Amino acid sequence: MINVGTGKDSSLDVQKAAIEATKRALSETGNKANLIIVFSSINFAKKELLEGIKSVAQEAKIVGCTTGGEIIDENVGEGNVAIMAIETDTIDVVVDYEEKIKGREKEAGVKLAKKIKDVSKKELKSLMILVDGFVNGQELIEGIQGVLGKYFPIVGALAGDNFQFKKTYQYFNDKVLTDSAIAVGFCGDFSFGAAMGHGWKPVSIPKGINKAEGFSIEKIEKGTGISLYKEYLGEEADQLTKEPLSTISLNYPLGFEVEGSKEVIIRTTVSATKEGSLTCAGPIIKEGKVRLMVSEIDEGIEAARNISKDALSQIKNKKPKLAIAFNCICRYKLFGPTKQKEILAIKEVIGKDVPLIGFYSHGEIGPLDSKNKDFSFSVLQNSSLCIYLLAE
Amino acid sequence: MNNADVKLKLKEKEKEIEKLQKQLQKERLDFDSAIKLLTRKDVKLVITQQELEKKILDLERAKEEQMILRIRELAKARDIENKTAQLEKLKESLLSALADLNKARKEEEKEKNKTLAIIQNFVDGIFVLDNDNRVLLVNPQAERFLDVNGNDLIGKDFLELSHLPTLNLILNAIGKEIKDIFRKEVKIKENLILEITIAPVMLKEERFGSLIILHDITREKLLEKMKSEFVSIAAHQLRTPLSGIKWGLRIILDGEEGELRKEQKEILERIYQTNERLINLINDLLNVARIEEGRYVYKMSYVDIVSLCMSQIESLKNEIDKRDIKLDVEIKTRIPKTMVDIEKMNLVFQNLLENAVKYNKRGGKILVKFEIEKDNVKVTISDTGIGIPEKQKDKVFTKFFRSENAIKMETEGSGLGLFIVKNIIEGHGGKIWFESKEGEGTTFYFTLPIYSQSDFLEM
Repeated sequence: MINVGTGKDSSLDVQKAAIEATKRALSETGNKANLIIVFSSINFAKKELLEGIKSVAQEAKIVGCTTGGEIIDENVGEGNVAIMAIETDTIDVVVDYEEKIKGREKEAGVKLAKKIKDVSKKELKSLMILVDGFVNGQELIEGIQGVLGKYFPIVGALAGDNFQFKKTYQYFNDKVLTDSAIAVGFCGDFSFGAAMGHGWKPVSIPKGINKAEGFSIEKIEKGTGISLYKEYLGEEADQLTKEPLSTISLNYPLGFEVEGSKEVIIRTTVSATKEGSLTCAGPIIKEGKVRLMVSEIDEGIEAARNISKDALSQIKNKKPKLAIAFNCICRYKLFGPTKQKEILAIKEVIGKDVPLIGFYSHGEIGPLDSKNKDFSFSVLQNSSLCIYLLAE
Repeated sequence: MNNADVKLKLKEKEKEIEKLQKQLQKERLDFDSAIKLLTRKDVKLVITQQELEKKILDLERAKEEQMILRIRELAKARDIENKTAQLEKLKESLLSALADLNKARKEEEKEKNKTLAIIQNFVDGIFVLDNDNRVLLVNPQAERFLDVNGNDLIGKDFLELSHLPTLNLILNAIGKEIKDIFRKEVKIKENLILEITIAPVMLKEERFGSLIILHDITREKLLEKMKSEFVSIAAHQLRTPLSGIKWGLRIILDGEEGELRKEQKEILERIYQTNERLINLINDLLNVARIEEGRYVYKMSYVDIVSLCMSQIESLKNEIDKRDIKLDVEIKTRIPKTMVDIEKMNLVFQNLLENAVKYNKRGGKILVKFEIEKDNVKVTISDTGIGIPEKQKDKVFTKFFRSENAIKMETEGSGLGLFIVKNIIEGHGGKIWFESKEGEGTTFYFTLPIYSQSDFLEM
C-alpha cells in the first residue's frame, strides 16, 4: 500500500505555511506519513518550517532542500512550501545525511551509501539524493556508485537558492543543513522508473579538450574554450564574458561525448573569462570530445514527454503512485512563461491525477541512458530533466 | 585476376576511397560551414527573439504601468471628484454657517439697534464710557440736557471736557475721577436740575466701562420747593396764632387772671401741652423747609458743646426721673471748645436725648460719652430702649420716618427729628451713624470737627 498526498502554501509566516501545506498533503494519506518530502524557496529555510511540518506529521521522516523554483502537481513557481506526504507499508524508507561534503564529495558519497546500505533491511532498490547546490555532485555520485555498484539507480538533484547563487539548504528531520547531502533509500517490494533527458542536439564538429580543470575548460583543439562559441555564434559569444547565465549560456550548452554512447553529458556554460576559459555548472569530462548544443522550447517539451514515457515504461505502464521531477534552473529560465507546459506534458504522460513534486536545481542526477543498459549508470547533468516514478 | 590486377584494383579502390573521403571531408566542412552559418543565424534569431520577448515584456509592463497609471488617474479623478464633493459640501456648510452668522449678526444688529434705540430714546441722558473714560456713546437726551453735540465728544476723555460749561458743572460734582455715584444733584441752569448716577457697565464679571445717567429732577425739585414753601408759609402762619394761644394759656394757667378750679386747670394744662407739641411740630417743619430750601444758615459760635448737652439733659430731667432712667455722662478727656451753631446743636442734643428717653424702658439706662478722635469730637448717646428693627434701619434718617415699634410706643412724633439732626451734623462737616438691636437698645454716634476760632476765621 502506498498513499501519497501533496500540498503547497505560500504564506509569509513560515510555520503557518509549513503546517497548512503538510495538512493538505496529509489529508490525502489518512493523516499519516512515513516520509515527508519538502521543497521550498530560500525564505522558508528556517527551523520553523520543520517544526511546522513535525507538528502535524509527528511520525514522518522529513527530507528536502531549497530550490530555484518549486513544482507541485501542475503548479510551477517560487515562494512556496511544496510538500509530498508518503504513507506506505510496502516500501521501507531509509534516510541519512552527510555534512561538510565540499572537497570530499567522493568520500561523503561512500559513507552515505554505506549508511543506507547497512540500515536497510529489505532490498535497497533505488536512492534519491538531495545535495548542496555548490558541490561536485558527480564525485558524490561516483562515491555512492563505488559502494552500491556503477549501475545502481540513483536520482536526485543539487539544491537551489532562487537564483541568488549564495547558499543552499538541505532539510533532514528537524535539521536545516548546508554543505550536506541527504540520501533516501527506497527498499522493499515495489516498482520504480527513472529516466533523464534534455532534448539538446549537437551542432558543431566534436572538439578534443586540450586543457581542463575541475569545472573549467581552458583550451580545446585549435583554440581557447570560448573559441568554440565564437566559431559558431560569432560576436555574440562575448556575452559569456559579460554576464553569468546569459542568453548564450541558456541556449547553447556544451555536450560531452561519452565513448560508445549516443548520449552526451550536458554542461551549462555559466561564464567565460577574458582569456577565453569557460566555467561550467559541473565537472568537465576531459576524456570526451565537446560539442555545442542547440535546442528549441518545443524540442524541450517533447523531451520531457519522452523522458516521462521512458520512466513509465519501466514500471510497465502501471499507474504511478507518485512522481518526482528534478528539473534544471536553466530550463526554468529558458522556458520562461511556457515552463508550465513542460510540467503539463509530464502529467499528461504519467496521469493527471498522479501526485507530482519536484524542483528546479543546480544539477540533475539520473541515468545517462535508461534505454541502453550499458549506459544506464547515473550521472550529473545540466539543463536536463529527471523523472522518478514509484508504483506498487 | 592476378595479384597485380588485384593490387591495381585495390589501389584504384583506395584512390577512389581517398577521393570519396576527401569529398566527404569537403562536404563535412561545407556542411559545418553551413551549420556555422545557421547557428550564427540561430543565435541572432535567439537574441532577437529574446529582445523581442523582452520588448513584449517591457511593453506588457509598460501597458500594465499605463493601466496602473490610468487606474491611478481614475482613482485620482474619483478622489478629486470626492474631494470636490467634499469641498462642495464644505462650501455649502460654510455658506450655511455664514448665513447663520449673518442671521445671528442681523439678530445681534437688531438687538444692538434695539438697545441703541432704547438708549437713544431714553428719557434720561446717558453717557457710556470705556475703562479709560473715553466717551463711547452720548444719547440725544444727554446732548439736549448739556447742550452739546455727542459726535464731538465720542472718543474723548470725559474728564477732559471741563471746557464745556455744562460738563464742567457735572465734572465738579463728580470729582477728579469716575467713581460710582448715586443720585448726585447738579444744577445745570435755572430750570434744569440733574441727578447724576454713575454705574459700572459689567459684562459677565468684567467691568468694561461706566454708565453716566443724567436724570432730570427739575420738576421734582420744583414740586419739592413749592411744597417746602407751602409748609414754610403754612407753618409761619400757624406758629404766630399758636404762640398767641400759648401765651394766653400760660397767663390763665399761672392764675394771673383768677384762680382756676382743679378740673379747669387740668383741661387747660392738656391744651397747653398739645399746643406745645403743635409748636414743636411746626418748628420741625420749618427746620426741614429751611434745610430743603438750602437756607438753613448756621450762626457759628465758639462754644463748649458738653455744656450744651448738659443743659439739654437738665431740661429733660423731669422726664428722666419720671421714667426712673439712669443717665450717665462720661467725659474721658477734656473736650475743647469748637465752632457750632448753638441753636442747631441744641436741636441735635434735644432730639437724640429725647429719643433715648422716650423710647427707653422704664428703669433703663442712658450713657452719654464725649471723646476725641483724631481732630473730631465724638459723641455717643446710647440707650437701653426698644431699638430699631433691622429692616427699617436704612430709613432712619429719612423725612417723616417713624419705626413701627416707635409708633406703637409713642403715638406722637413728627418723624422729622433725625432728618434734621443728620442735616445739622453734616452741615457742620461731621458724620452721624448708629448701631441698634431691636429690643436691646440703640447707640447714636456723631462726630464734629474741632475748629479753633482762628481756623474758622481763615476758612
